[in-house]
Amino acid sequence: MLTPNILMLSWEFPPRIVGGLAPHVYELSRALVKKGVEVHVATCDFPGAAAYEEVDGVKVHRVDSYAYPTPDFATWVSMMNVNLKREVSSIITQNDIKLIHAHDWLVASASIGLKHLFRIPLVVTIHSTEHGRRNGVHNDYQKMISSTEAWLTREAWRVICCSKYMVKEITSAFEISDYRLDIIPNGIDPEPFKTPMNLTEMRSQFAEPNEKLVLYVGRLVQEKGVANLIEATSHLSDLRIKFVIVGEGYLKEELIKRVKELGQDKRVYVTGFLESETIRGLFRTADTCVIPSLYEPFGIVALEAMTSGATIVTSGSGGLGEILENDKTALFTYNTPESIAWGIRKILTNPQYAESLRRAAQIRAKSYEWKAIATSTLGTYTRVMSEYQKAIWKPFET
Amino acid sequence: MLTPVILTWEYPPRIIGELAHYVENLTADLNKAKIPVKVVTCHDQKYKYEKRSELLEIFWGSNPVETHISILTWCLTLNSEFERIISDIFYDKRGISLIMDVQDWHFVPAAVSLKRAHGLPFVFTLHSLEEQRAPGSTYALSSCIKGLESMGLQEADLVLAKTDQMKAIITKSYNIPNEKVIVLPIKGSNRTRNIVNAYKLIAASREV
Repeated sequence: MLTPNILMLSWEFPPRIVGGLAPHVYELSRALVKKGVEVHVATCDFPGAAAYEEVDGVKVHRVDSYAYPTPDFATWVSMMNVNLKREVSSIITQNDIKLIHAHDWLVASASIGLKHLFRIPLVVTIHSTEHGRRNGVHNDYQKMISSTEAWLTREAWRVICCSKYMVKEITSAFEISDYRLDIIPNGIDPEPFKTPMNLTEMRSQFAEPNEKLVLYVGRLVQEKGVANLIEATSHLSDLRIKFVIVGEGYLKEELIKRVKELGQDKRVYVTGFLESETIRGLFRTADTCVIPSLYEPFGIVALEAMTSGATIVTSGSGGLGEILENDKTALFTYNTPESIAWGIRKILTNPQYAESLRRAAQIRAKSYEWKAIATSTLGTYTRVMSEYQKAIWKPFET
Repeated sequence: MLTPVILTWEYPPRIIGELAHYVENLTADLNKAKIPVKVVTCHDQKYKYEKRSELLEIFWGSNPVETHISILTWCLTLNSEFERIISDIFYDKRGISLIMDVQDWHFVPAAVSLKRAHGLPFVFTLHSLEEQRAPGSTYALSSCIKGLESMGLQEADLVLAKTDQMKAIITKSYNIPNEKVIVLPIKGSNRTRNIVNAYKLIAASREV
């Protein structure tokens, strides 16, 4: 009973990958299975993906999320939750599910509804907040999302967040007491970063041997600060550099246009989506990886760069400042093009300094492996189940 | 004991259209027949419970999300609150045979979830269809409401339609079996008695 069967709800799970949630839920659920926990994941369907399959022991249930037409994204989310609730009831009863673990607001109403329908406790991971993503809430759409996040945290037995930074953000945005919060960082699986591959050949697709390779990996959205990196490129015209900007997002076309305006289109590649293997290869061959985020609840990209042995230039904002340490494991800069350019120049022109950061970061990354994260998560589950057993709020049969 | 739980988005003093008066009259008629009724409806203020008589309980649910961009996000979120309220009734009232009567499309998702989770049967009472309110509309909001109506028609144990014309749309456009739809004119004689019979019919079929 204290290690219950778990149902995770997430709107994305591989192969449906929208952002960082999918890899997080994928890795966490696999790591929990390795610890002997039965984990079910209920998620949206995806073309070509099975409605039910086992992935490394994780039981994945994909629910038709497009069965009914909807006028906009927010209504689609609401209907996706309706569909999840409708299909998940049988998963709960047939698999003796004793705890629901929800990831972010997108599955709030399904998670909360199921909690009350079956009277089983709800654990919630808040990966980021609308308040943080938008630097405040400015319109009704954002207020609705923020209010949904607040509702989800109110209904949760315990709330997991990934950093001290997020504790501050959640407690101030939602008026939730910090005694209901657990800090459990995101994790990393180092094995895929060790896979043998021809790195020289891979690198040659992006840069000449006598050129430095500066890498950005992340969504192309305002909060990631990638626009500042684009501006920084023109401050480094005297160095032989190829800038590789990997990721998708609503800023993509605007960034490509700006690269042309700056006359940097021969040096800056905005690649869009790349396969994971290629991205891992880029991390391993880049001379520096830039993480210029304006808002970053955690910064899993930093763990990927650290594990790969890339030297990091970063804003150090949010959770990045907890994973990384200035001048020890990364070089911190201000969120301005000039400062970012200064940081890149320092790394590229001081190989010994870069090497010292790189080595220290690689050692630090070991403390973020998923087995440790799963142990901490299991601790939260055990605590919740222990409290739940003593509580009077239960279904008939217990 | 057979206890109808009526899900409606309006009930006096919250009066938006005719539905509030219809449900109020229905609860009065059911009470006259000594049938206890629970009405689960919505309120702008904080959730509260009201016992209007020995046979009539009102559960006022408020939306847990303060701001919305449309009636659909408002309504679909409120469905989770209805699920909480009716689940609490279900867990607290062991031994009572609950039957949900869903008035129009607004709380179909809650009824479907409750049916799937607890096996509670439900009657879907239709006062009008989106196709009748907005004929031929392909507007996305209209399409979504039609989707919810379709879900209710598919999942309901029994459908109560107001007119033969409505039944024809339901059976032809939504492909619902003829025998699943009963026409009960709104001002027809014996309407309440026929509704009670409908409740008993699906309660009996569940017990079997």
